Amino acid sequence: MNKFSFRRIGSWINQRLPLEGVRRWLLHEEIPGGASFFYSLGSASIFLLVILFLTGIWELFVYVPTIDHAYESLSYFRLNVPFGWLAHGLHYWSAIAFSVIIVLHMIRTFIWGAYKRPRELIWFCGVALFFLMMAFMFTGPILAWDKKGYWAGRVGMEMVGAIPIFGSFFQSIIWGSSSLTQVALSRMFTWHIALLPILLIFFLTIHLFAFRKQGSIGTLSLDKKKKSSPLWPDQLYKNSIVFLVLFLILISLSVFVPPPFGGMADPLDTGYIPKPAWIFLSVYQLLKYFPGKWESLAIVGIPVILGLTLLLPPFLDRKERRNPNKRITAMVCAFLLTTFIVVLTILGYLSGPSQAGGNYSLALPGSMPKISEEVGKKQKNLTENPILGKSTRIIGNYRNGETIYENNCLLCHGHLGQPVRGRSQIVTFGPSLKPIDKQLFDNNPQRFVEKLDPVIQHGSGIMPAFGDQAVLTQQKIADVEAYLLKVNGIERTKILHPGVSPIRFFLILSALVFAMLITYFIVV
Amino acid sequence: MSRYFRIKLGIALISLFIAGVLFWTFITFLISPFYKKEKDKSYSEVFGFADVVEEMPSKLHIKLIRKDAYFKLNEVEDVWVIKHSDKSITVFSPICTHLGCRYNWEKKAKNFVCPCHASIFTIEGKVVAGPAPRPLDTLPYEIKDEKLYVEWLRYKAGVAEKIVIGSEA
Repeated sequence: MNKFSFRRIGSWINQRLPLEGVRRWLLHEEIPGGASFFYSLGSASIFLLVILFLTGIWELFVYVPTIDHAYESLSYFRLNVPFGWLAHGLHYWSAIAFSVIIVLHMIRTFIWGAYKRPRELIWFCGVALFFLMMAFMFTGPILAWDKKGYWAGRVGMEMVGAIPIFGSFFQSIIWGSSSLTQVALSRMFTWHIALLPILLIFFLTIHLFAFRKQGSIGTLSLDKKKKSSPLWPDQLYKNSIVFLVLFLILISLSVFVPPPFGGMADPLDTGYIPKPAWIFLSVYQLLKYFPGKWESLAIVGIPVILGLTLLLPPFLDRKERRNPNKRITAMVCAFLLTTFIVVLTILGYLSGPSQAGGNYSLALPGSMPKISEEVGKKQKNLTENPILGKSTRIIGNYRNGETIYENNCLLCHGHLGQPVRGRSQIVTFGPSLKPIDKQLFDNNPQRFVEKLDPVIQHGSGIMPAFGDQAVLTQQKIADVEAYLLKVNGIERTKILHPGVSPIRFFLILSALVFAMLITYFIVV
Repeated sequence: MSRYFRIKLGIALISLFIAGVLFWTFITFLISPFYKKEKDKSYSEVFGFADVVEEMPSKLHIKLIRKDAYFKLNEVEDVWVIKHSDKSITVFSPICTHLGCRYNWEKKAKNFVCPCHASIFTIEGKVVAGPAPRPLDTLPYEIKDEKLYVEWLRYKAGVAEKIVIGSEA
């Protein structure tokens, strides 16, 4: 098709839809002082939002929002669905990147004085979007129904419940329940995929319309302001470079630092120390300085103070000058506040153990649970008619599993499966677990776990029935299974159907980027 | 070559790259069920084989463990078993080759008859009447320790060729 045909098609569409007007409104804008990478932060946050929407919809094809299946469906999506690992990785890292970019965007906007008259509405919508972003970061992790998400949600719920007078009322609105159950998960799911996105689109639309009405504020220097460049293509070119860099960083993180498998939520696990997402670490740390009855005041007070702090600048700083060198008070206040939050965030991250060893029951030789001999006899051939527990459908965390192993299995099976010599209190030596019996070993992690599971669930010989006798929960059995796989060289989190394996995908993309750059420089 | 052309080319290449990667990965995911590889052969025990009378078609139950995503579901199916001798049997799928209905054995007529569209099959599975395009589908089997094990398969209905379409119940 030649240019003439495209023009005819374009003309046909323009006679029926106001596309030309929309295109002109979207793209025709002058940037005072010229295009700059500093102005890309807002567009970058919209780019990340688009990635979040697309990958979120992608995950909806498989994710099941019930407490029985949330963790399993997400694990299945990440390990058994082509490019599921990529979709989830992009969603996870885009959410973190989105929160970082929004904060940087707000700081840049503040420094440029772009909250002053007549841009107050843009600033207020921006603050609303910031709080919406925090709401997304709060509701999202719970949906995974893993330990981190569950306990972060549980702590958040208890904090809201502790608000004087209105605590229960707010709990029922936000979670629909006073405990983290199916009702709460369903409500969090609806907040996350429906109500919060609607609010976000609403405020974003006003934010963008108000911004386009006022135009870009441009450079601070009056001399440089005399020169300008258009949004299209100058600023959009710089934006697209930022998008490309962001995209490649997100892909790299998804490949090399995939979101961890923390193990399924276990309400009975008293050893897990919950920590919130990074954006809440400063609040988490700050609350520690308000003990006892002051805590409930802080739970209400801190968000109110933060909200006021962010909403007040247009009212407090009314003078027209925007140069930060001439707004010393505002800059010092902003610097102190930012430093305060950064320090609290770092302290919050470093405070307390990263993960407790777990308060698991210790199976001592004299106090071993009654051995299920009848079940043990039935399990003569471990590969025939296995009676599998729910743990086979849970992707466990091998680090947790190592602790559980040390507390429950070490005495019989020894360190990393090597029998321990010279310990007179040990009655018997269990079979070696590294390397494990060939009958149990399998290169496929799911089949390997399904072979191991009956032994752990139902016992074998004098080995206790850890599942049948509820010595260990199904989540803990899943963790132990993950650990046993790990010591035998098999990753429980092995991606079985990646589409294209992560490393290969990264190499293909790197080659494509290289080819793109070569093409560009050759043509140019 | 103008500066504006270079810039627009850069924007176009980057946009195509990002959109292309997302499109390619999403489409691969979307169409992946179409290219699902066949699972390993799995034989399930048929219950009641010991009581089968020679040359008398018997409808027996087979217990299937079907994998659906991360679920393992227990399902029960039927198969028609005709014992010719201790070592020779025929196992038919219970699904009519015309449009997928379940057929029955008529003792008086000594034929298999499908109630949906009146397809009639002999004890050997051959079509004698009706719209069925091919004979009854046989299922792979093996006999171990006097027990019968059958591999449950589904075949495409309404066509003359015997085409496996899956192993779901």
